[in-house]
Amino acid sequence: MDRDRRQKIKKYFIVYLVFFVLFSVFLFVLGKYQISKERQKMFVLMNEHPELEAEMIAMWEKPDSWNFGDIRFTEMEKMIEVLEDQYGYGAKGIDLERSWWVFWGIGILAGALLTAAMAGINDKKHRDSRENLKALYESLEQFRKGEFGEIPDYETVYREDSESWMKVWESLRELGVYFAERKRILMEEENSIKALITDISHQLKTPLASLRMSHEMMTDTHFTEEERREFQDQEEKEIEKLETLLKELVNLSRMEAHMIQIRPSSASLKKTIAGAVSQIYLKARNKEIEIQVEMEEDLEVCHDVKWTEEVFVNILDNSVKYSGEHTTVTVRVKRLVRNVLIEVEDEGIGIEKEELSRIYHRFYRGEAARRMEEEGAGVGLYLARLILERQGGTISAKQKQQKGTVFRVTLPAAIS
Amino acid sequence: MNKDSSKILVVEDLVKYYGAGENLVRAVDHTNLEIERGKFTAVVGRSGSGKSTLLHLIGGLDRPDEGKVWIEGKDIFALKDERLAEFRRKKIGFVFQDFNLIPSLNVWENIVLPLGLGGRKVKREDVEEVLEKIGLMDKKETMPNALSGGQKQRTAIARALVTRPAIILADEPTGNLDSQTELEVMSLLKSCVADMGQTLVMITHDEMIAQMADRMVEIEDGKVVNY
Repeated sequence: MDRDRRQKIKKYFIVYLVFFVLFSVFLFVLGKYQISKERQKMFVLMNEHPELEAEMIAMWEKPDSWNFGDIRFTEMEKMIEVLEDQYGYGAKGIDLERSWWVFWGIGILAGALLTAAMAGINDKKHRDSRENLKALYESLEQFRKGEFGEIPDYETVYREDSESWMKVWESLRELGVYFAERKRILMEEENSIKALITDISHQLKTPLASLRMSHEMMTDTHFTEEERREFQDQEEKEIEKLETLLKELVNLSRMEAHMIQIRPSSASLKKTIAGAVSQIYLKARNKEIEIQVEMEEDLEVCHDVKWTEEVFVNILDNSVKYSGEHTTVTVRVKRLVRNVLIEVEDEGIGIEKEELSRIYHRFYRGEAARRMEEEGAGVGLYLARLILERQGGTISAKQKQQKGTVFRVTLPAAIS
Repeated sequence: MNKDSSKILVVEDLVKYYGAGENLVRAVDHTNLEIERGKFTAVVGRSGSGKSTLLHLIGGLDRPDEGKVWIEGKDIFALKDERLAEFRRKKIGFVFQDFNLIPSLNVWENIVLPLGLGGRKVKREDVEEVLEKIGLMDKKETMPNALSGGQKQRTAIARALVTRPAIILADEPTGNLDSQTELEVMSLLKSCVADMGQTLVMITHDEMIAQMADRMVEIEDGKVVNY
């Protein structure tokens, strides 16, 4: 028997003892009350019949030696019964002396039973708690094995419907969910890095192959000097392309691996947009595309200046790339309630409805875009979305009624 | 099966038919679906494709003819009505197209309503945090009829967020809004949900909104046709 249990027994014994004492006091008071009643009766009788005084005193002092003449005890009992029938002298003539002990006995028995019952209830509680602890331990054991999702329902395993146990169970369950989530995120990240490596090597293969081809042809003595110079030009272009691609891939992988921190701070949106436009300006001018910026007033918007500029460069670059000559690209800035909306609208080839939700996938390039054979790795919009989402913004695109596409970017106006 | 409580939401062979004989409508017809935790899933499909019925079933607002919905490993239809309502209040926040605000209560009262229903204490700071995020701080005493459509929907979103449920179910939340307000409401909803790591499932037929989702599920004639 453990210490806990011994202590419990001690506790019950004390409870029982207290009960016993209280009950004794109760009986004592009851006895006192009965005696005083008896005295009153005696007093009345003595007043009425002073001639019986001596007998009465004897009766009072020595109840055992009552002198009833020849009447035997059993006969007396009978007479008392008759008395009862005649006068309704209740409860078979309370014999205090005897009932005292009966009361006492019953009291002690009742006390013992009550205490035992309490002990029983408590013992059940104790057993329930032990069962609950066992269930708890089993769940923790599962956690240790790396299984976080199998926390059984409260009703099926746990006994006793108490709030504190319910709370423990709920926390355990939430902990399981949290662990499972961390595990899932870790696995997801691992998979995404694997996929990224595969994607990148795949992306590098094609331009490297064409570079190798140009290079081989350039060094091939079968070709004329002029032809070889052409291949050399080609090779230079391939190198440039590769450089651009590599830059994009570096940004992408660093962004994905959280090596780039997006740090939004309150800054002029006008400056950021102007910075992006100036990066694209030359490219636009070559195709005689006009870039219009409609912005009524400068806005202080919470954004990461460097990377948000990159977002607009990517969107504008797409617009210019996939628009014909002599067209217009319009940038519109509007203040919403908690956000700022930046629209980039072009008159280009547009994006098919079915492709709209795929354009943000890594390395995805639209049908029309691929047909145009413009350079591009399908990284720009993916990166744009990643950057925007990390600062509480959104991006979405829409096919215009007429020719062209509208990109809509939102950014939170203030730090939340 | 599917008792995994780490999975936020699993729909297993769900069936809900309406009517009978020639008028039988297979609103949800043996649908299986698994929603990723902490992600924004857009449910798209033509009107009448059964999207709303599906969302109502997922949210435990209605019981299916067959099939199961598991939320964090709990088979929600195994619960009795009362327990289901309790579970729903704790785990799910709803945003509807027509806002469903109580006209006789002001913005603040509408927002704290679900807290009161759940018997939870209203923590002033928590409500204020949501109000601040959603940009309704200066409107907290306003009655719904004095709000614009966007403000009404933002109130409804705040109401859905305030109990910090694990899942937000939204049924065309921007259906009654113009395109700019739509963007506003969407970016707020999206960033709030992302901040709290909640799972968002939204019915929409709007392509721009579907693009913002992490994943798109297409429903046709009560069935999932495209994940």
